[in-house]
Amino acid sequence: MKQLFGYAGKVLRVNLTNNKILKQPLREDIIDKYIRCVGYAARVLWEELKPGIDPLGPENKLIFATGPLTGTLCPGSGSYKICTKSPLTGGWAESRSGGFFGPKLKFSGFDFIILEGSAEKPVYLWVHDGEAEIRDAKELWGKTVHETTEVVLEEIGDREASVACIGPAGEKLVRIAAVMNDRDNAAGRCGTGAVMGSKKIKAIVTNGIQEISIAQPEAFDEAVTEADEALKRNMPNIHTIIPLGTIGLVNIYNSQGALPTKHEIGFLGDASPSRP
Amino acid sequence: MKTLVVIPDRCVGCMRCELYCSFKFYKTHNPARARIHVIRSEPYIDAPIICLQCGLCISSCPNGAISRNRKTGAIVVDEKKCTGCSLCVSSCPIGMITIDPVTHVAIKCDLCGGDPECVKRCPEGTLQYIDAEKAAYYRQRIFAKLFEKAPVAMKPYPK
Repeated sequence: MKQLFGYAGKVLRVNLTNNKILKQPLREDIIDKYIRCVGYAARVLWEELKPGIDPLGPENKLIFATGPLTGTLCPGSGSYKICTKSPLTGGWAESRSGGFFGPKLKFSGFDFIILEGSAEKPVYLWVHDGEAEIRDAKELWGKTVHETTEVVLEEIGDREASVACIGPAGEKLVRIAAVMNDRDNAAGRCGTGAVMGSKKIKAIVTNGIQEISIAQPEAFDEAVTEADEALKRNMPNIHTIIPLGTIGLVNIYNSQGALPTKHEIGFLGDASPSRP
Repeated sequence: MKTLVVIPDRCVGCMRCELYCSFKFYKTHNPARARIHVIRSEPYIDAPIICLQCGLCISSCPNGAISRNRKTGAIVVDEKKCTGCSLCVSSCPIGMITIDPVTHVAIKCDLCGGDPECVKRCPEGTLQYIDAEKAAYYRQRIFAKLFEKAPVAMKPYPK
């Protein structure tokens, strides 16, 4: 197989029903057509999910997806997406989150994690350096996100690892439950946490020392530098946003009419976030 | 003479210095091959750890592979002489000389020959390559932090 630049090159397919772990190469017929992480995931779900299945049943699949830029120097590339059939809408679910889970998934040697089936007992998945193991999570079930993260990191013995897990809401199949990674980053849309809870998988932990190579390093470096400068130029007030995080964008979005309030038809008069 | 210093309260933990470090030397992205590391400890303290170029590793090397570059003041490893015995790793008090997971030789910060890439690329100005007279002051400030009462107990590496 030819070397795929930007990709880690492997897909981890975990069947939780019979505890089978498969390491497959990326399908080249797909990645040439659908470059983005979501494109690949959508194609896989399109082919593998039968129409009319229950999103919270074992037939549904949950895909943790990264793209060719994840974990590289490209600004804003530290994201991953979770794709599945949504229990909230019954349709396509795509939920993005930041933090370090995406890059660490790439460094662990996998581009995608595809979760199939549903476990009998609560489990969690430890993915590292091209290997994966399913571990018992009986003790973790019922714990909150912060507690789970703490216990899992202690158990695997790697404090630099990144944990994506669900809290009690996901376990109880609440249809708006989020998957949380690195304690405070949320993949909050479409109820992906409920799908994870229905599969009885409490957490996914990733870390590794694999590489992400670039085909044309000089050209990539130039492009990244240019993008960095463009970001600095076009966002002069970035330093007012950073201390508040996403909340800092509320007023800006509102002034552009892009804040989804009143079923996305109205404005808020004043949406300034209340400061602590 | 210039020195690399770090102003830790500016660090936001973007880890781009790690990526740029591995990108500069190997044209790949791999924080495990970087010569600078950012340690994140809860609740969200990001501490960039840099090599202080103290030279303790020089005498630990049985092959004479480590020497000081007189021009930049940096301690450099001769990769041809290095056998990867890891004695230098044991000698470094702050863990800033590491073994490359791919080539299995010792790697450490060589200040990029007097023009550190991480300093140019740090978006927050956390890393600075400044005159030694000013650098001493920053190092004093960092050392003074040790005497502050820690707000949270330090979590050691798990058993």
